[in-house]
Amino acid sequence: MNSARPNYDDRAIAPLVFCAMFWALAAMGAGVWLAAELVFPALNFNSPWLSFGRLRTIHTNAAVFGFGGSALMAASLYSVQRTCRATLFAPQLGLFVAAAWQVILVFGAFALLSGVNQGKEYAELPWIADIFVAAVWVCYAAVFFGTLARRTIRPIYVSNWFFAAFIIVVAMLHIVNSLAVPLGWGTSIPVYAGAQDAIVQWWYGHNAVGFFLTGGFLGMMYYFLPKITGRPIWSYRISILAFWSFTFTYIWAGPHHLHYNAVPDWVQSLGVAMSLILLAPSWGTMINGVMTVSGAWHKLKTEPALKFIALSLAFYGLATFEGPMMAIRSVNAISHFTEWTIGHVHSGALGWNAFVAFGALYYLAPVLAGRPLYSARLTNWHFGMGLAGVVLYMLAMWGAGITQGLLWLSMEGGEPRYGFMEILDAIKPYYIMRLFGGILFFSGTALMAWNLWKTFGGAPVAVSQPQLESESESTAELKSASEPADARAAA
Amino acid sequence: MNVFAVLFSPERGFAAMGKNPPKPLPALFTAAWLGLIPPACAYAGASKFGWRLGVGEPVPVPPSLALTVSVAYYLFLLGGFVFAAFLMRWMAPTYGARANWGASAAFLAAAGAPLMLGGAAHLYPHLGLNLMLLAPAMMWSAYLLYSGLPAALGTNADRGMLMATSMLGVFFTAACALMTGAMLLWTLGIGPDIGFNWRFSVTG
Repeated sequence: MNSARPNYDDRAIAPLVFCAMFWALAAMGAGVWLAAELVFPALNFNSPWLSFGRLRTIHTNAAVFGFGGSALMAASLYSVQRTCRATLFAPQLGLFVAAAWQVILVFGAFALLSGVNQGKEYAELPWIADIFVAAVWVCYAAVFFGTLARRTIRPIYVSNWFFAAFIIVVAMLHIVNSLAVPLGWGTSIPVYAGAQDAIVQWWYGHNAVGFFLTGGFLGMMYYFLPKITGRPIWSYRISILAFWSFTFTYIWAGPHHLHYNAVPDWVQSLGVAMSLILLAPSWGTMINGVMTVSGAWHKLKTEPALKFIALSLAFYGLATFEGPMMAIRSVNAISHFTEWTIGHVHSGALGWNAFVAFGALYYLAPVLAGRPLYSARLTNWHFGMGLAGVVLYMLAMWGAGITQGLLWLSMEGGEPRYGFMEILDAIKPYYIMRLFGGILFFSGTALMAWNLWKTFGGAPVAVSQPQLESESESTAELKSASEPADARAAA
Repeated sequence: MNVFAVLFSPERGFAAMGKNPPKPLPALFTAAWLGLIPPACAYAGASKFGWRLGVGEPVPVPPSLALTVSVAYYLFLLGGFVFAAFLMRWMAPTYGARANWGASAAFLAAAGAPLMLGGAAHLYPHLGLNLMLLAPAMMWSAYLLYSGLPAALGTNADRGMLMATSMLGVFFTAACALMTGAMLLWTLGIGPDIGFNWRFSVTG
């Protein structure tokens, strides 16, 4: 193995960290506004730009592609260089990808706010934006795989397997699901008809969750966890086994979004079976992460990022248990279309995705800025507010979902016993509780943004660069992150 | 074992618990009477005011049915408590904590006390009132879980934080399993009439 450290090119990483923070605030700010609109509908001010339907797509796209996408690009382009001991392939292209992704997001946000929308969940952007997304994604793949091809270490570390699956599968999903016949600059019709369109859409939609929000973020976890803890993954073997079973199984689970619809029964059953099987690789990964963290408790004092990742694993375990349970048809009969689904998405998106991304950003900011983190106290406040926020949110949506499911199904003489508005009124207390949870989570994120902003710009340099370099190149880096043999031995 | 000492002075209470871990039986006894509060209040509230689904007139509940449901509620709470104590004892060596039945059970009873006391909200089965009382009670319990675990189970603060997080994950997963189990029973026709049978066709 070549022990000389290459000159890593991190010029695209810091801007991506800033963009991730910007989109996190935008997405969560929109989320809080939407939650407030559900309690006080007058907050849309009768403006179509502030209507629930338009703002909601901003909320989801900014969260998934803005915050999640920027954080994933930053994490993957940073870690692939370290785990391959190779400098970034085509760094100018890397900078282009980072910038072009943001331009698409801003364009997309204006399109969605002005009501231009394809009407497909997580694929709302107009066809013209879809073409640019595909082009930028191919450039991103070129930078990532080009760096991987340059590696000076033969084994491919597990985080890169996850990032690679994320990049390839998302490209495939996006291109296949976006095939459409344009009718104008902002409108198009999909090439698939009826139930086929629904199946393709939820093949895309579920795997956007699977490979974007799970596969990509698992790559992030598998790099930053050993890096922060300074010890190898508890079982490298489990991580590889989990990767292949996750990749094979996830792709089939989409039809569970289409229970009791015009989709063949066997397709629905296949979706249920694969969803249940998914529990095994998901929990294997969770146990692997929990055991890695449990041996590195002494790092909690010095590494503020660690507690975020530790908590994210608990929510990962919960969300990956809840998903298969909700896929069972007799449970889905009650839970489908209710707020329980919203609660499930948010226990995953806030508890798992956001927390693991926060951990990565808390780690990256001081290393990239060459300064220690501005305030550990703010980080602790962020942790507490985030935890309280997501718990309140989730419990409120559980309560609202079960209430809705029960009341919607209450029949009298073959007719629904309660009206839609009556039921909406009944779950208002839960909406208020969700609003509080959302405000807490958003406020915690704002504290983090301030903390990172001050880390990058405000405070004087208190730690010398070589010290930080040695921290960032600590034993964890290549010993655990790039040498699976060592990790296997430790396991 | 004095639960109120923990509620009013958590630091001192948990430290005392750590020094002299209670025996399993007194801890179980404490949990048994604390756990009585929510089902007893639910029984009284449901038989007096009926179930309020949040919409329409309250659904009257005959005392015999309220008693059956409350007894089942109590048994579930006790079963959940024993299961959680078992898990805590099983998990303890991983986090350098004391693997002791008495210590685990006593800590769980003390940390869960605010939630059980909050169960008094069931006296009036109104959704908003229950939420207003149970949400802060749950926060209080979560605070006790995180702040008290290291002292009560004899581990350091960092490992205690990790163990508390693992327990939190267990509690939420168990809650989710309970909800799912309830849905399965309802669609099988056991429980409230939801106008929907296991063949997934509308009834009534």
